[in-house]
This record gives sequence, C-alpha cells and structure tokens, in this order.
Amino acid sequence: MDKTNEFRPNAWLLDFGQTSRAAVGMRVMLQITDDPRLHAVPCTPQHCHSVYFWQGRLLPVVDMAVILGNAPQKPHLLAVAGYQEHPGEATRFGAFLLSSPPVAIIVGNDQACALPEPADTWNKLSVSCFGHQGDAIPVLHLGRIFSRPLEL
Amino acid sequence: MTATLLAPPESDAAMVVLNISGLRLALPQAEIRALESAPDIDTDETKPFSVGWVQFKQERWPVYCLSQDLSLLVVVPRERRSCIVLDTGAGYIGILCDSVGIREQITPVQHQELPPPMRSPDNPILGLIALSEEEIACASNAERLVEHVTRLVNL
Repeated sequence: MDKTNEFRPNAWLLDFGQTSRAAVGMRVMLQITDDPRLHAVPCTPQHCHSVYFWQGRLLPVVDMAVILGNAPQKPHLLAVAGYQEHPGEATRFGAFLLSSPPVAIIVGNDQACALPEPADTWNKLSVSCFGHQGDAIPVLHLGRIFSRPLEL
Repeated sequence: MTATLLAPPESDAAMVVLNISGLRLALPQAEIRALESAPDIDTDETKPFSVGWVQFKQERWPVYCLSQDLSLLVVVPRERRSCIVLDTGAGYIGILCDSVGIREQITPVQHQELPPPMRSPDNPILGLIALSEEEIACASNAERLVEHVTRLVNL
C-alpha cells in the first residue's frame, strides 16, 4: 500500500438524519447542492418521488431515511453521485437527500464489521460495512439503489 | 355543444402537454380525440367518481378530474378550464386540466425513460421530458392514463 495514501480521506460519510448514516467512495460524490430545485413525479414510491435536473439529465432523488423506515428528510441538501454498474460501462448518476454536509473520512480494511439495524434492509443496499467512531457504517451499493426498482 | 376536433399531428413526436395544478403531463397529440371547454361539461347525474359528462360522437362520456399527484378528485378546482377526450377502446372518457399546450417536437435529448427506482408495473408515467432547466413534463399515453383512471374508479 502506498504510504502517502494512508492518511488521505477515501470515503464520504453521508448523513440521512436520525442517526442513519452510510458511506460511498471518495470519487463517487460529484456535487453537493443547497436548496435544490426538485421536480415531483406522481405515482412514484415515497423514497424516490422527485428528480433533479443536473447537466442535461433528470436524476432520481432517493431519500434513504424513508427506505430505512424513518421520517422523510427535508429537501435542503442534495448529493449527486456517479457510479458504474460494471467496469468499463458508462457512468450512471443519481442523487441522495442529505441531512447535513458529507464528511470526508479515512477507512481501512481492518475496520470491517457487521451491518447495523435494520440489517436485512442494509444487506440489500450495501456492499460492506465498517466501524467508525463506535458506529457501523454501511458502504452503499449504488446500482441496487439507482439502477432498479427497490425490492425490500 | 360540440367538441373541437384537434388537427392531426404533423410529426410523430408532437405532444400535448396538459397542465394539472402545476403538473405537466405530456401525451401524444395523436391520442387526444377532442378538446372541450370545461364549462360545457354536463354535471347532471354523474357516474361514481366522475365529475360530469362530455359530448363526443353523438354520445356522452364520463369526465374525471385528477389532482397533480394523479389521484381522483370529486370536487373540481376552479382552475380546471379544459377537458381532453381519450379513447378507452370501448368508448371515451374526459380528463379535466387547467390548460393544454402543444409541443411540435420533443427531441430524444429532452426525453428520458422513468428512472428505475421510480418504476412500477401500473405507473401511468412512462418517462420524463426536460422542457427546460426549470420545467419538466411527465410523459404518459392514453392507454396508460385510461388504465390508471379505471383502476382508481374501481378501487
């Protein structure tokens, strides 16, 4: 491992409110927007009922708090994420509502731990989990969140 | 009282954009059978969940009023001033809206599929159209919208 990278942040800690947090890789997060203009789309699930216009695209806006069974977040802060379903494929995009600005953190392989509750839900939405300041933080699988209808 | 037949579309891409309390709902222009003025709707002895009758092809057909989240309303908001007529396959229905606009061409860049996390088998919204950075329209078609209204009426 390159020693110079050991102390560089390599993940973003995302706050979905009410102690619900998760992480994504450093390069996944593309933009943070205050007071985003969201467009409601009728007949859509409560956890994803609006889109955000970003660079010529309409991105689905996911409220992880609703997925986790909590009250909806206020749409004050939004994070745009980019991901690939498979290596070499075109980048896809989605957006999360956040309750506070993301925090850059350093995560190491020795921090792996079990998923927090609700573990069944997190198991379907994450690829791994690590301990951070006494909490278990799932690492999100963006393809499962943005590339298909949610099945919990 | 006669319904106004809309001119045939000049392009396959021509869409009619309905304004329903701020919701922009886009339908292929070719699927709109007629456009009627809401004050001309007959409100006598309405069918359950309908708000009146529209005259079309020498018969009267039930008219429904939708909210901006596409649920059924039985009290018509004052801003509903127009009524479009859609073919159900077995007849026709009317749908009230605030106003109707025509977009001659929707480019592929403007038109997106509904994002996967928003999809469901019975969702009448099939896609999204970026009319501008400030305004989007939800794309549907007559078949899906009629199915949606029928499902709501039969709940």
